[in-house]
Amino acid sequence: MRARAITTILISAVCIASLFTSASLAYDNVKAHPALNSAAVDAIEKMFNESATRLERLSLSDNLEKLKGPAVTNPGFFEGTTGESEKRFTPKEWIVHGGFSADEPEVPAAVRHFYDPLGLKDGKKYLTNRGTYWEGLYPNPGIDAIEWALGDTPKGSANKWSAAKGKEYFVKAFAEKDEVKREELLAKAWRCLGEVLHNTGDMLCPPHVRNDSHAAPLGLSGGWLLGSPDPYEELFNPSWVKEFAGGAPDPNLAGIIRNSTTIRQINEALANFTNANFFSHQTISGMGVYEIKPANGESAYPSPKLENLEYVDEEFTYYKAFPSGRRIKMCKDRGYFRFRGYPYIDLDCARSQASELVPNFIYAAKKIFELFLPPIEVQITSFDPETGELEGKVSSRKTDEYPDEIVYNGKIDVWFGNKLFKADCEDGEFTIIIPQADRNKKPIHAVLSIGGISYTSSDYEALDRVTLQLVCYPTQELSMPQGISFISEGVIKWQGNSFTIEKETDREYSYEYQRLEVTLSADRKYAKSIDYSDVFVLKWEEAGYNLNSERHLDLHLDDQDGKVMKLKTSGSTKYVEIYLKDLRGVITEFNFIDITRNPIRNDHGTIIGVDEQRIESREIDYSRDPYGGQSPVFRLTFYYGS
Amino acid sequence: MGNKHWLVSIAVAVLVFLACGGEKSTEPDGSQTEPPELKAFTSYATEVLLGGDKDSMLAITDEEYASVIHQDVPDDSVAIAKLGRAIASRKLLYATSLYAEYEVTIDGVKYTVAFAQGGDGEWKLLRY
Repeated sequence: MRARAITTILISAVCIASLFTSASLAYDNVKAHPALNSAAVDAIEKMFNESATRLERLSLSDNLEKLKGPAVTNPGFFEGTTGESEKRFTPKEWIVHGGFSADEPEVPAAVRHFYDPLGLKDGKKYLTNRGTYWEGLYPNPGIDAIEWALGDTPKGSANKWSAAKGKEYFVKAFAEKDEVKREELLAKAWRCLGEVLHNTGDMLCPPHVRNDSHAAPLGLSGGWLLGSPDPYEELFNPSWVKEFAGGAPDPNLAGIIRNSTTIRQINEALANFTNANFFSHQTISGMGVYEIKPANGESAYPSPKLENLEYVDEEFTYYKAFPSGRRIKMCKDRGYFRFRGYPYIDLDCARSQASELVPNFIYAAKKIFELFLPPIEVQITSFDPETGELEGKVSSRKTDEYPDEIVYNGKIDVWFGNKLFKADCEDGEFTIIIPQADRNKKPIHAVLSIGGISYTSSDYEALDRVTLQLVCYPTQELSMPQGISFISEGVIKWQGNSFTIEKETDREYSYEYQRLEVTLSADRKYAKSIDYSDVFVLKWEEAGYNLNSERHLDLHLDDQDGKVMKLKTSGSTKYVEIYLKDLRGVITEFNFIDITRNPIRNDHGTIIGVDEQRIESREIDYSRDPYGGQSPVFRLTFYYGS
Repeated sequence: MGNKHWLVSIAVAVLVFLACGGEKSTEPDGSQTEPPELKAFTSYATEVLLGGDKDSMLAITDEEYASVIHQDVPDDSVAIAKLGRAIASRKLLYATSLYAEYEVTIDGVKYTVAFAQGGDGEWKLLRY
């Protein structure tokens, strides 16, 4: 009896254990998430490497860029039963691996990857559905998917593969001088991005944003603890990623993503979109053939609702037209026992829904990558052809994701034509002496290569002199247009992509002070800001009276996006020109003061006072174009060489 | 097998699994292949449905789905048996380790039905 019991136990145990090892397909971490991440990397590389304006280039799939770091090599249910070991992967392989490793260990991941943007259950955004079943096996961590993936809250900080950790690894990798340590930091950073993109994929998976617990292949679940599987998750065919990746994103969602400055904003927008527009299998609600309530026992979401969808009788299918132009099969209600019954999502619907959701994932992933990428700029700040000394710097822009400065220590490639020189960058600055024979070679640029990313400086050009001209009617009170003319003296002393020139000329009969400050974009393709101040005085004093005529002008032009103040090239010059119709869009400050002083004389011709005429204006008279729209009214011109 | 034996079985299974480390296949999926456990369940489901008993059918149906569908199901043993016969000659559309969708034909009309398991290996009818 005892032997039979032991045999029974062993056979049962082996049977149960064998179930734990079953392969998972669908919207899972073995096939679907890696496929999504892989497609995202392909799209990201294409976006960067085919861009004519970006200074970054990517080689994320290059075997030469393989990085050694910790990978999940022994999947498991809990922390203690999940194993990692060292692997050498390309950056792309690490990002793909992150799509897989985000679901490891599986039990915590199965309850941690939920985000209900509406917090329908008592304001909780984390998973509560069927909590009474599964919380006996695993205590509810009370953490939502986004804070876990991003690590931007105290609870989320426990995730060592979050976006926050990934950015930290990147920052450390840039500063690290030891190549081996740097490599591991880079591997970790890319794996973190992969795990972040896993969350992005989940935010476009209906059950993950509608508090709909669903079964995972967890033998330990003890039977239906997490509820029945969700058909979209289960029926999602990884081949659909490739099939739908090229589709257009939802235009409204794309607008939000485009303007997002944080990864959180993007993932929240995705969750809102999916929650509001899609059903999960057990959260279908509204008026169908009868009133349909969510099968999972939770409250009904405000949208979508069956009564607001288009029903096609002959197909027994509910459709929704999306702004993308796609018409999506939301669910069907053809039943065997009842002609029309409780609605469901089948393979046909899942595929249709993937056609809308996958393009949004790709679009979001590209923007997330841009925000995750350290915002580094490489610049050649000066080159002296006489001595051959070249100086440059590596700096970082402050962004919402990277608010602190990033310091780089490591190699920099300096190119003179096709000749390569290696410079050492220390705390963001590098200097190198170029041999005499190579000093005339062009183009000149510097490249920082790290972990599959190459940051390139703009070609170094000796923009040594500058002139500025403006002709306009500063005010309606003047009948003649006024002209500004500024000519630099000597060679411009650039501070990166900015310079300031001050000129003061004091003569017997006149005084002039001019100040010009210009900042070009990092790629020197447009002027970001132009600041000009001018004071001109015609001196005249008689019998102790001040009869000076004065003109004061302050002008500030700002074009952070480079829409108007683009630098064009012509011969040996580079210039910005602006027509009057475009000038209004970039002038952020205009202050014009004209003071004329005339003597008041008595009948004997003796001065007895001063008649002061003062004209002030804070806006150009745009109704009068000095050139009738035929020529630009503003021109900033750079000249190569001194 | 008594409750005590089940508990011991599960405990031993956990130990066996932990020792194995839960390695998962990353080979291409077999979406058109019925897992053996599923195949066994479809045979069982066919047998139950051929019996024509509504309660027996609901008993092998996912409990959440059963709670919303039971009113749609008539106490019609002939109709239930027809579904059983259709499942016996089902056409697999897609299967994962947790979920399977089939096409069945009843009286010349095509329907889809779905089966699922919750991760514990116990398959059930999910939708019909």
